[in-house]
Amino acid sequence: MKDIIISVATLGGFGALFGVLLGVFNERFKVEENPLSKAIYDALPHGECGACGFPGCFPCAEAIAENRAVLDACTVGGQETAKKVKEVLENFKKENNKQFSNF
Amino acid sequence: MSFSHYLVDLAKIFVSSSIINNIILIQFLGLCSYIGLTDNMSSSIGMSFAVIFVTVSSSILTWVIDHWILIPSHLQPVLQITSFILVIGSFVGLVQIYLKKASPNLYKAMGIYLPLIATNCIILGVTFINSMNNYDFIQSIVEAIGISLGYTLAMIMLAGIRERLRNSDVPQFFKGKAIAFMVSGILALAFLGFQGMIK
Repeated sequence: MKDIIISVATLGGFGALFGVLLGVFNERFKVEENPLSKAIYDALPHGECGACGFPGCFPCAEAIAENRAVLDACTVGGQETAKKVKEVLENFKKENNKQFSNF
Repeated sequence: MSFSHYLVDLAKIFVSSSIINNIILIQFLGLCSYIGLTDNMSSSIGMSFAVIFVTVSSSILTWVIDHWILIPSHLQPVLQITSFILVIGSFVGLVQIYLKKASPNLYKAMGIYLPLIATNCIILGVTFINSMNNYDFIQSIVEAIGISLGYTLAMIMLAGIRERLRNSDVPQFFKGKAIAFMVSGILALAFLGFQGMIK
């Protein structure tokens, strides 16, 4: 029983410590990201499987946003995800047109 | 053991870990970034700095965990891998966040190999070598610096050779990674000459 308590305390303590550290670091070194790639990322299934040929879902979303990949690049999501991504792109286009029409 | 003996011992550890038992060319650990990133000089230098930072800082912290928590509580065989990987993964996360802000181009050039430092066998290997040989605090730092400088040496040598190979007349079947493997085999043979330098 003592062993279990010590191991849980050790791993939990260090896990919490590093979690806080990484969170603070992430806030301090925040990078401005393309809002379009963030929106596409939210539409992807977040499996991080790499089946699309990119190292993860976020690089894949960036590639779609920059026109380096096709809409149905996510092979796992299939048609459903492609539809969602298409909707996101259309919404983004509409909003941007609104912004520009104000000028 | 007197102080001068201790210094000689540290020098022996440094030379043996950086050159004689070079982590890549003699022990063949961590080859994925070695082959994957050496096709240009700047990304291999960046990777080397990332590896130096992660190796040294994680060997310091794992020494503390090993000697202050795991050995007194007799949990070393159970908890060692898990707690070491936790430390290494967190440091890799820090490097990744910092590099994304500091130099996005280098971040893009390194791609998947940067997060893969977390599973790179060099870092876990260093912490296990330290723990197996019962090194004290300073010895384990010297070992970590030696191994990561040996990694840097191998990376820079292969990157330089591959940059020159790009302009030379390589037979068509050997272009790209094939010639890189051959060159690194020859480099490993050359490094065998250092064997037996320290008794």
